[in-house]
Amino acid sequence: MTETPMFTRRLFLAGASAAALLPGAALAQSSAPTSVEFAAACRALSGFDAIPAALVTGAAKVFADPDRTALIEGNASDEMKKSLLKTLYTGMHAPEEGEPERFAYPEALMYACVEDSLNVPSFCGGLPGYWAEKPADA
Amino acid sequence: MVYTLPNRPQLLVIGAGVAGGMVAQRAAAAGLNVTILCDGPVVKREDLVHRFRASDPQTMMSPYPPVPHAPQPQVARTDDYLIQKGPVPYAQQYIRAVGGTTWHWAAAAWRYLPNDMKLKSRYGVGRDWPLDYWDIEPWYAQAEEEMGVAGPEDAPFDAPRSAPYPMPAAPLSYMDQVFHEKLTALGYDHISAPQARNNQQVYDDRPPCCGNANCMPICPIGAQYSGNIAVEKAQAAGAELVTNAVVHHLEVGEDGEIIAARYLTPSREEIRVEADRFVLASGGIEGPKILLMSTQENAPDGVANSSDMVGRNLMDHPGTSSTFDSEMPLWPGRGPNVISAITNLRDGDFRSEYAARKLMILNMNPVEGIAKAAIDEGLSGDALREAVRHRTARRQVITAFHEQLPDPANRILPSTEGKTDLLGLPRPEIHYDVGEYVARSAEDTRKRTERIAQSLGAAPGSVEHSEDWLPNNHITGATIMGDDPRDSVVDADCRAHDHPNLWISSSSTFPSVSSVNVTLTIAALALRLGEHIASEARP
Repeated sequence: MTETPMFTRRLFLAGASAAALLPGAALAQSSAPTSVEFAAACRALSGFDAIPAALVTGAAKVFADPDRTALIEGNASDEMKKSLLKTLYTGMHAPEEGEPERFAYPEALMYACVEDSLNVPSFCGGLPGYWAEKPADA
Repeated sequence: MVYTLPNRPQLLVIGAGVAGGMVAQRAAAAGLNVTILCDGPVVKREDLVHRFRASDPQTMMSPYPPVPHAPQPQVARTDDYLIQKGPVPYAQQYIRAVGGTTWHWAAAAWRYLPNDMKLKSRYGVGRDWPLDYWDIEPWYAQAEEEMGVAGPEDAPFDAPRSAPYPMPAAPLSYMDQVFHEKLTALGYDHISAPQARNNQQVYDDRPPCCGNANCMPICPIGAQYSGNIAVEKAQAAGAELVTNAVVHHLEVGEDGEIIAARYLTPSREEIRVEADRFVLASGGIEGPKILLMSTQENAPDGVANSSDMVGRNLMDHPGTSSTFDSEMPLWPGRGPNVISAITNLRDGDFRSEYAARKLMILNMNPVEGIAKAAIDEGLSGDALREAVRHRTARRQVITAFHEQLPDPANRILPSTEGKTDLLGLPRPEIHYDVGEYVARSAEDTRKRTERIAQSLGAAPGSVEHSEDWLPNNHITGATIMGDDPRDSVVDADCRAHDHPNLWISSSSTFPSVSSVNVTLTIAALALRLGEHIASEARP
């Protein structure tokens, strides 16, 4: 089946990520006290139950403590939430001013939205000619 | 201080893309002593893939390292290097590295139609080529074999051929299959696009495409042909490659022959290479610029420029795109970036009034733009996730290449304002417009894509058409080919009218741009040129 290679890779990533986000895991130990809550807020905001660690640690790096606290407490501005969502979905933080910074590529959430039908560009999609088959959700 | 290299090759090839590589490959294989000069470095595929994946953002140029001494026009800011004098920007990109711009092509390997080369005599517009389609047909076949082209047999509005494609056509994606059904019902000829990409088999020791969906900007596995392959084969046949050598001047002797090429190293050392024969294969912008920079007593207006045609007649395929959401999920982005095309608008009597064109169904993963737009709408949580999925499955883009006619007013010049690059060489200054011939065709294209979108269930009024002309990096015309030395730069053999030992291998020699990608024709002419030079050099 053509979907298998993509699904397997994504499952691996998600599994690795979920483990990283468990309370007491490396992220919580190495970041600010609100890291676990921030990760939970990211999950709620993004619609994903598991978010790769690279995305959360990257976001924690570019969003200041007051912004993260506001998100956790439900007071974040729409602007901050949109900026955070773009970081999580694209794997890259691109402020209006300043240099963009990429934290993740294949782990970006936008690819997880479509992983059963589309491979991440530059990664093999399946057996040669797989694309002629009807996608799972078509 | 100018240092002259002790080695004097029989053939000096200036440029290491597919145009230079294939000349060098053929000439070296025939036994000539060949040296290739490349203005950029050797790059490795794995490094390019790594750079692409790590880059922020990811663009057509993001895999390619900056070359400070040989600037490359970037995507967002082509005017960082190219000086756009307008009225329409000529926002082309090209890669200055061994392999050239075929590192980031989509492997579209189309032949011209016979009528593409007879525009003036058939339709009363543009120019005729000084050679016939059947003069180069055998070279098309050899280029297809060399590059490994997979294509359809006997497809409508694909050019006539003397030999089958080396590989059968790549299978259509599910999306293309649905389009095919709709387009056929609307009366279009919709065919598998010929592509220089290995289709379900190993070819030339390169692997089959496994649908990495990243032909542009870099095929990660080398299933897709790229110009570095020709250069490597030339080296294997004995050619010498010199990298980071920015040629800026050709010396002309009293008898009109080219004596030497001069290049600058990144540290501005000037090196001189004498040779028996010279092939300029530096691309459609840098090549003409070298000729125009080479003013001297024996060539007061620049090399090969007694006609004043060097730098003029600049063309591209002014592009349009139409974006819409299909009713059903078709999932663009599975497999190669472009797999099929509408071909029946490539030729017909309409060409006397408006431009031929090729329409393509884009098969690139659209998720990033969709995700950003959905976030900007204020979506979040499950609604965002579902919207991204739903829209990505349905987002369709039809692009079109329109045939532009040669116009001497469209031109490239070395900067007339003293603007220079890091080596102190003048930057390219470009004067460019897109005329009514193309605009009339583009208007017809928009109407057609509206109907196609409707047939796929797009909501009325929902089709978004591009507003500006989209560049397609098919840089053509600025050293135009013709029989008359008074209004052309090279003859039918691509030899400069003014200099018996100078040839030009580039799409810059094309008298017409047609409506199809130009690389296969570049390759066919390059192989033909390599053989021509080798034959002439034989005692």
